[in-house]
Amino acid sequence: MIIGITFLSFLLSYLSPGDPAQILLNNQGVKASEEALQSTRHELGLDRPMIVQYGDWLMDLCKGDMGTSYKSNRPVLNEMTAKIPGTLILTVTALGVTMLLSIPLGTWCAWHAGGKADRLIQMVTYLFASLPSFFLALLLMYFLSLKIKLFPVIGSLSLKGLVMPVLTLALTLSAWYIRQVRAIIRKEMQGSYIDGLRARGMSERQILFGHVLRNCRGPLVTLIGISFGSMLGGTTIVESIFSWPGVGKLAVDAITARDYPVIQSYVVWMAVIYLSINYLIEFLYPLLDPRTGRRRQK
Amino acid sequence: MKKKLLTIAVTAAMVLGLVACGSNGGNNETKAVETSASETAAESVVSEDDGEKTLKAGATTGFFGAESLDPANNWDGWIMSIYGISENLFRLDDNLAPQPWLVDSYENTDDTTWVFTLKDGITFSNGNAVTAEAVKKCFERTYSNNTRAASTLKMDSIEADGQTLTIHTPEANPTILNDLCDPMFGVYDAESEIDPELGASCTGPYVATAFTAMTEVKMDKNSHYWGGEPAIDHIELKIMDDVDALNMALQNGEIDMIAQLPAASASLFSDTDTYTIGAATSTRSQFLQFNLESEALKDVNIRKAISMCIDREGYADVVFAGYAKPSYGIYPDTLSYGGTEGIDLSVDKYDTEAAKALVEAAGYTPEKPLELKLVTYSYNTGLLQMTDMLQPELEAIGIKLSIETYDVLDDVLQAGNFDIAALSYALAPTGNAQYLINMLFVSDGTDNYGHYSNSDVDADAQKLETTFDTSERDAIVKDLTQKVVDDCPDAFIASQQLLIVYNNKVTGVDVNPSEYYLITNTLDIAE
Amino acid sequence: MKKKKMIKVRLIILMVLCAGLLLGAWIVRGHLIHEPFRTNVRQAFQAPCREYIFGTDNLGRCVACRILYGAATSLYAAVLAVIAVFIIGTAVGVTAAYAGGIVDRILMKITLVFQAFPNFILAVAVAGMLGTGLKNSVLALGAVYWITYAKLSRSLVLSIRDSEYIRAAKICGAGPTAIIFKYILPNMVSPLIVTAALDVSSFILSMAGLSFLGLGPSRPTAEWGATMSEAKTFIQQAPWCIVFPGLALLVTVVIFNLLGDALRDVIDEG
Repeated sequence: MIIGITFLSFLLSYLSPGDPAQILLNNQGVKASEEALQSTRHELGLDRPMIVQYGDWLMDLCKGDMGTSYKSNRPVLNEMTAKIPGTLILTVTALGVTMLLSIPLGTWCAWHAGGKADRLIQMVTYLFASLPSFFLALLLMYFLSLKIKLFPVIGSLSLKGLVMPVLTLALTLSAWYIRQVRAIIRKEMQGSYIDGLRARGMSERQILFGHVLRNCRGPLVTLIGISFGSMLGGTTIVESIFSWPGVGKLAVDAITARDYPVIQSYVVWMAVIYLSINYLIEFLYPLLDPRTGRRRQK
Repeated sequence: MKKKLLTIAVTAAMVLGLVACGSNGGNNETKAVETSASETAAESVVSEDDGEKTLKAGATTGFFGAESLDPANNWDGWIMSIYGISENLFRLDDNLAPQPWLVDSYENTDDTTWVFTLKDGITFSNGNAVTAEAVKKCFERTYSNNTRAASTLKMDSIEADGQTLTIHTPEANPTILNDLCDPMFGVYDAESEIDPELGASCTGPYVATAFTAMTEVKMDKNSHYWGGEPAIDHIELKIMDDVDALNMALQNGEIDMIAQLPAASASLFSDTDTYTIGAATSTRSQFLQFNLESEALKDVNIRKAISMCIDREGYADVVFAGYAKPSYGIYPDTLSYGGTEGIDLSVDKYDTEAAKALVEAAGYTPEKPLELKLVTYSYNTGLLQMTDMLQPELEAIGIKLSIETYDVLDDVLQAGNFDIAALSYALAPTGNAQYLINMLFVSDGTDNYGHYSNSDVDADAQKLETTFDTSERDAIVKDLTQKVVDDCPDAFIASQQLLIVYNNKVTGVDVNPSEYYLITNTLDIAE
Repeated sequence: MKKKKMIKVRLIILMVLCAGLLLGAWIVRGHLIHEPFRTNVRQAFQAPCREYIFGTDNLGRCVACRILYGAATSLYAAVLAVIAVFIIGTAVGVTAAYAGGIVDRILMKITLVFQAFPNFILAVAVAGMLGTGLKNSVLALGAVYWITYAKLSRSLVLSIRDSEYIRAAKICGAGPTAIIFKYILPNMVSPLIVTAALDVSSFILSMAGLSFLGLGPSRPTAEWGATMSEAKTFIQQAPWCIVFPGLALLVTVVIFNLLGDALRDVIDEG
């Protein structure tokens, strides 16, 4: 699996146009002569067969060496590790807010399905789900930062600076999440055992909190895994707009500068994080879902 | 199941481990930034910490972006000069004339020898004295670390004796004082260790206390600054490439100043009760370079026709909001050898009719157009807007322009893989006309990608190298300008102004057209 | 019964609307009041007025005309791209399911690898590698979108393959190609088409996102994401340059989403 990921990332940069030797020398401000180019190519090992290059890169990767950035000439690993916490903070907070927003709302909608409020929320979420995230970001920035002067424009690692990027991400994701939560809970509520519980005299409230929600824990958590991926993707745009010091902005800048080592590591890092979260969730699923748990015990 | 557990454990450990290593770096940043963030939250620009004054400024990577604080590294010397950390032997005044700065007096004893006497009592920020020996050492180090040094200023040898520095040049160099103003020749302590983060110890009014490459720098005042203690205690400079964010940050009060403001944003700061816009005509210009190896462009009329389709006035008035001046010659008229006075101009206005006639005469029409490829930078919005303006104009008269953008143009240009290149250069950052001539107009010029060649121009350039008298130099440059205008290998568009916008709490801002200086000891900020 | 009819009617209305959009985007290009690319700097930053209903941008170009011109770019790129990944993805999925064995395992491994990357990030990386240009960004997004079809079609084939009427067909002596084309595919098509319709709107959004980051069609372009990205720099002087393209995106995406929902409803009921 890891091999696959790394190979794909490597392939991406290998196949890309542009001569790394040329780029490297350019960024050092040197006018490259043909010999300089050749010797740099040799130094970078670009004249060896692809498999060998891949192998070397992989070995370096395992040792923790992710190459040197073409743009800044500093080890990519350092740049990544300095910025990843920023992205993670953003992602985790946004996810937290999304859950806080979506689960209660989604449950409420499912409970009062078909009612006026439910339909209103359905419409609103539909709209938000169709909005491009950057549009929302720009609107928020315009109104909250400029007109009302409530929040700062420069995203800094402080509580106040966190609000706008998180809000943008959370709102877009919540739109989707609320609908999913609603669907999952509704489905659960139509389960046959619900009538049985009702017959036994349980109140609606008890049914909801005691059984339905508990049984939905599993699927809900799985949703987190999936949305984590789209959240990571969403951070690229949001970080760019709000100048948030995270890895997404680093990647966008790297792409503009054709800084392939950085792009490569970015892709690998994101994939690894995404995979780990999903593995974690797969691991937790049986623990959370009382039904599968029970089945396993038997 | 076991296998899965193992994979999870390994990946988790890897991720956690690496993130932990990273968070240490991140934490430092967090602490530092959280302090400033709480200041921002208070909505006051100046921190009332023990009555200390702080100035915050923002700019894009182009103006503030340094890879390190080592003046010998690449272009970092330029940025360190802007930061107010490093200084040169000479300094350009507002007319781009070099004035003695760290030097007390100098003498040009013969064509190739210059003797400089350094001022007494100047020290580096680490306390070591600035002697001729120290300067010699730092120049030697810079020359060995940076290939641009030799191409900017050729030196045969340097001698040091007390406060006397003697430089021998291989040939007569009438503009050595201008060249010494190039921030690459900043004076720093090369004999002490150069800190990997905080860089070299220099003579400027401010000293770095924290530095993150391409992101921000924090500085404290150098209380032993030889020019007088600065009024502002702390300076924070942030790089923000998002022009919006930059504008809004100033409007919000999160920063006090924007350096190298894109002219289009100027209208946001028109309220003179709150903001001041400082402007100085720099030597930065936009221009088109024609590739004379391309068949169709060998015809000078085609080149002139293209030049006629550029609405220079509209460009300067709208795209640059009036902070630029149309250029039909080469150099801006603020330079003694610039402007178009006395020059016969074949293209002197925006005239699409005349252009169409020329193109038709060459045999092209909108139905059977001439196809040309234009290349330019992907991030220079000024140039991009110009090409957006030019393209439909050319299409209407029979030239189909395809536009390709690159972040790095060098390889494309060197390979000659273009018909027209839209570029933006500082034409004479040190006030020295030779700079651009050697790059663009001589037959083997370093940036003469269009392979323009005119032996008369080459002769003028040669003469200029050895002429010391200023009025003679000006006459030569004017003569060369006439020839270039006649040949039209490049079409200059507009000379820009350097804009610095700041809120009215800030005083003592001097906008220098060289783009080399920003933070000085004259800056002050009201509480 | 009434509900069923309503659903069908809704679908037809939406299909007509979408077809209208596609056709309209093409036709309208030839009939714009102002030239979408001709600059007119003296008219820059005009607020919406009689002459320019959505105002003008930084170079004096009519925002409304540019939106109308750019519609075709976004719509056609999305539709054609989705059709392409539909065909390719389904082909891969069907092959994997039918061939089984090692072919299946390899193909599935490949899709797994692709899935390991968050979608947008992979698209951004590929687009970054390929460079700017409409073709490249479509390829980049295509590289991400094909996976859904491969996986979906594979699971659909697997579930249909062992059903009774397929076995009956086999007993009657029908060969594998005939089985695939006459029996399996027609029964698979519905869920795939729903996905496709929804993907069109998602594609439009993603492409706008890529353009916004600078990775979309090359200059000059009236593509919505690209115009919004440029307009960001003068959001304060001319907010209409961002608002109207954004609304256009919103409306288009909502319409195609509704189409996808209507399709799903019809299929679910029918």
